[in-house]
Amino acid sequence: MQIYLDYASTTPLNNQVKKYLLDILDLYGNPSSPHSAGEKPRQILTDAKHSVAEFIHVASSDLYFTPSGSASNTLAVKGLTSENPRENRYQVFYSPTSHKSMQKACQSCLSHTPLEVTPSGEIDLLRLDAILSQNASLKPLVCIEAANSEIGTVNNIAEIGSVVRKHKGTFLVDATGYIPFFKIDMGLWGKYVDILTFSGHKLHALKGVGVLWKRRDIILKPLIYGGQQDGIVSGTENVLGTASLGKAVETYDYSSVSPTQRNYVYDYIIRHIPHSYLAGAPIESGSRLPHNLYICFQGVEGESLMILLDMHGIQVSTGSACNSTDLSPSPVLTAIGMKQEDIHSCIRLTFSGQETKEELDYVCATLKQCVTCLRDMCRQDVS
Amino acid sequence: MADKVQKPCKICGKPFIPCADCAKDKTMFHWKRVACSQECARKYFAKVEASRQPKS
Repeated sequence: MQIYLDYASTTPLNNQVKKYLLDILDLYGNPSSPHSAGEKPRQILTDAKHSVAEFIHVASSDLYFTPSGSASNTLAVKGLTSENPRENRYQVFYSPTSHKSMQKACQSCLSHTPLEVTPSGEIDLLRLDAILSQNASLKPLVCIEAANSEIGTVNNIAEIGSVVRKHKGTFLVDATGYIPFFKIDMGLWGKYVDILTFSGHKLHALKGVGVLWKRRDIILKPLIYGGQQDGIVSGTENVLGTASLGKAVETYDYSSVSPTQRNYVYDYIIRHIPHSYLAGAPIESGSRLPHNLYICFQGVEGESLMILLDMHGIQVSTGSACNSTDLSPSPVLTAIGMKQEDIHSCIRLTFSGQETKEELDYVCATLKQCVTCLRDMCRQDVS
Repeated sequence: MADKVQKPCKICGKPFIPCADCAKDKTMFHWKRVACSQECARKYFAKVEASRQPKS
């Protein structure tokens, strides 16, 4: 049995997307070419742009396709800020639990400050208000993730956005982890959000395409020069990737999103596997992604558990792997205050919502077996 | 490198330098204490699991 439980990492193409891609695979023309070979690829891009714009309720003229969610985040941060102290107008504030691309882009800016999060991983609103109040000279650029893909915590964008607006800041939101589960209506979020980014391959589209939406009056310096997409994201467009995203969002089904499978496995773990606990927001709260189960199994190395589960046909992710070249623990787990001895004992399971009872029972039994085995190996190792 | 202790991988025998943090931590089993690579770690785990099967 093969059971993929790493949907937060990436998702398979759905059948409609696959069929559509097969139909257009032979359209090799460059969409920038003025002749007839470029016409259909150009139309494909236009259609995809309209589909994605409709998906999040924005004007297609304010939407841009990038090579990835990471590229979108980097462009948003570096496109607004400057490394020249005479030109830079922004003080950057970033979530310490955001994606690496956002954190590192922010940390490369002249003036940057990490925000504080609660033990469940949500942005601490009181501390955000206080920290923005202390900032005097530069315009705040606040960069956060709408939902954390590691521990599954969901932020309240409207509340955070209100605080940012109060301090006349610019608000960048990475919606990559959020958008597969919750419909985004920029008609509502647009009151607070100035730039929105997300990735295509979490929505059953091809890898290699990201999205950036920005408020019309925001000017971004390009990272790559050329001319395509108003000169903001240049380079010959990824026609197939963009087309796949356009088709994926046209057929996206939010009604199939369900926490049932996740809850089933969570209930089993809590009842039958001792010395284990959930990290991030509580299961029953509305602040947790419905497919995310981030569990600490005390006394078990997460990486060893991931290997053992994979040997039994179950693919999961680890939150923090000990890497001989990089001994720093997961910044997310550090930010939420997890105990040092538990940081390397976590795994993340993320469900599709389509797993059968037979598959879930297999996952539960195998988890218990593997955790028990690794704990026994530790006892024997020490004795 | 001269002062880092090398150990033989329990599967392939190749000398490797185990992760120092893993070696110090006695609270859990770390595959990097016994195997030079994930590939060898899998073989090690397979041996452990096989040894735990009830003998027929």
